Amino acid sequence: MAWLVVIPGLFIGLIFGAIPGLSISIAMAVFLPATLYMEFLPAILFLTAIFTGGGFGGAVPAILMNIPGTSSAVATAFDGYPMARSGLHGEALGTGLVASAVGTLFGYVILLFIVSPVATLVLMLGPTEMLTVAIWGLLLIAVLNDASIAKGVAAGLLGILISTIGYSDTGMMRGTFGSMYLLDGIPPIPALIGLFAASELINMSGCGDYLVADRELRKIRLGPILKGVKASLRAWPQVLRGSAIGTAIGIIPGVGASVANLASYAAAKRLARNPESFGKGNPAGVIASESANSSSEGGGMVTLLALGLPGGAGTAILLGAFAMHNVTGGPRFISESKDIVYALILGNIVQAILLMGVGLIFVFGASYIVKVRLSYLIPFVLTVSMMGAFAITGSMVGPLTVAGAGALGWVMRRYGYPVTATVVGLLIGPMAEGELTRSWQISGGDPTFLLNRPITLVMFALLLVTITFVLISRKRSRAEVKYDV
Amino acid sequence: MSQMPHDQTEASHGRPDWGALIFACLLAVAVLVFAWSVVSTARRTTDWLLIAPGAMIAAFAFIYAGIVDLRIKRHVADLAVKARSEAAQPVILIGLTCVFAGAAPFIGFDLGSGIFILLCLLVQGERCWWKLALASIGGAAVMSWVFVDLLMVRLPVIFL
Repeated sequence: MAWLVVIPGLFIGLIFGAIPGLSISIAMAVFLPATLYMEFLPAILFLTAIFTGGGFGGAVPAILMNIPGTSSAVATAFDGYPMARSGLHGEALGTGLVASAVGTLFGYVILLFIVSPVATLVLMLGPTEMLTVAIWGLLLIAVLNDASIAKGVAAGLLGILISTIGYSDTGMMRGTFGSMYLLDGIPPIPALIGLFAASELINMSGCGDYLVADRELRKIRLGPILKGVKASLRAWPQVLRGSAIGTAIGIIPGVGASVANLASYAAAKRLARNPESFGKGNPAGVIASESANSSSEGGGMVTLLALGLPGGAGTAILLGAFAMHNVTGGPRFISESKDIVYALILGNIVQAILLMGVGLIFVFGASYIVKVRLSYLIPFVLTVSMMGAFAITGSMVGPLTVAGAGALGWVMRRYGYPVTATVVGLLIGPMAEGELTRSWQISGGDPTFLLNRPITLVMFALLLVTITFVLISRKRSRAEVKYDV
Repeated sequence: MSQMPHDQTEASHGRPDWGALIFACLLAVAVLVFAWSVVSTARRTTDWLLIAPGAMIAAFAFIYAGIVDLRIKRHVADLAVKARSEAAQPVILIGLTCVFAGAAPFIGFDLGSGIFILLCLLVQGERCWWKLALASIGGAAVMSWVFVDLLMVRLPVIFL
């Protein structure tokens, strides 16, 4: 029965990924309530299928319209669009599809082998180490966005503070203003639906009749796609290189497909015999970007399963789904639920293979989806979100949270604050507070206690090195990409 | 601490973005008031251990970001005017969404959804009566049916 949800999930991901402005995280947030009454495994398979489908879906408008459907498909547009302009859009789509499917497959095969050792290592971590991990994840999310560092940190901490509303572990009421509805705190799932989906949809209103104004650009031909598929299979070393880069980047908490596609593109260009052809319609550019952004999904699942930490917006929603089914990711989950973990990984490997077939079918219908008028898309998706939020909370708190978070998210987007950081803060806030409290109790409030925790000190050092490295490498890869494109 | 956004440049002419500073200050005040309310009623250190320092850093970051935004002036006045006029529709939609969220549990999600879709379409310029009727009645009916009968969610409904 669990497999029945995979193909619809892939289609939903492809549709949402392919519509510029509707991100994979919106799709996952909107359909999260639909998993409420599912068993845990089909629920997660459904959401990861959306994740996998969206990985390639973003490439469709990037190639055909020079509009990346998702931030992870930015580098795909660099060469995909010039290919499309020269009449090779079918080839570009086929190339991207294979690179994306193989990338996803690669990421999950690596996950299959490293998730258990990583979990064993994680069992050695105490509260101070786990607190460092939480700070690490939040800081990376806060730093790795298009906004300033100050906005990232502020948005992340705002999420953490919102998560502390309600009864504390010690029985203290915080920020409830006497409302009984807030005793349980702000429900995280409706909040993330509001922050991700509602705010972005509201943001789109008044921005034209359609997502893509030019009618001609909405049409997609399928004829030469198979040619692109073959070309991509022949270029397997490039596909594997991009996949390896994507997986490695995906494992770092807070670094996702948005960075992986740019880093892989920069590497492919640096190593190419004809770097001057990049940005002018070189299929290797599409392969580098698509293989990396898709394989980073498997890498991101490492931190989600082994540490219970989301690596980006998509895995943050998966963490929300875990919480909705009373499952906490982390070493204990891996050691106690090996069957589910490996079923999840194998399920995702099958998803990658299915993506090939589903993706081929999808590109036929893609042009019809972007023909839906924005004025209709917005109220329908908002209504589904409201109904879903009520289903989760069973009271008006859910819909009101969606509306409130949507309004907050809209203003935050307007002034350039990263809502992803707020959502991650909201989700890891309880973990961060719990570990901080335990660290305080163990140490008796003595900060020199940390000097006796070598793993914590090493992790702090690694945290600093990682953030410095990520900032420098992102700056370099972006500068390199910008220079010639 | 901060870096300048790539898509904006400092210019000597144009309007400072006061809205960004006001928003940043509001959030800074909100987090500080929240932290103060917790610290003033806390029974032990662990009640505010994360909140107090977190709120202080957040407030500082918000104010810093607001000041940086203020320094980045909108150098094309027309763009600012356009942005403000475009903002009207999202604000109306936010208002409708809030009213829908508050009213739907009482008037039923089927009726509430129908009215919400109808008003959203009207706000966004749809005037064709049969499209309005089909989208609001048909859309609300289908979505309510999917949630209530297909997904077995106990939504408050009036007609279904």
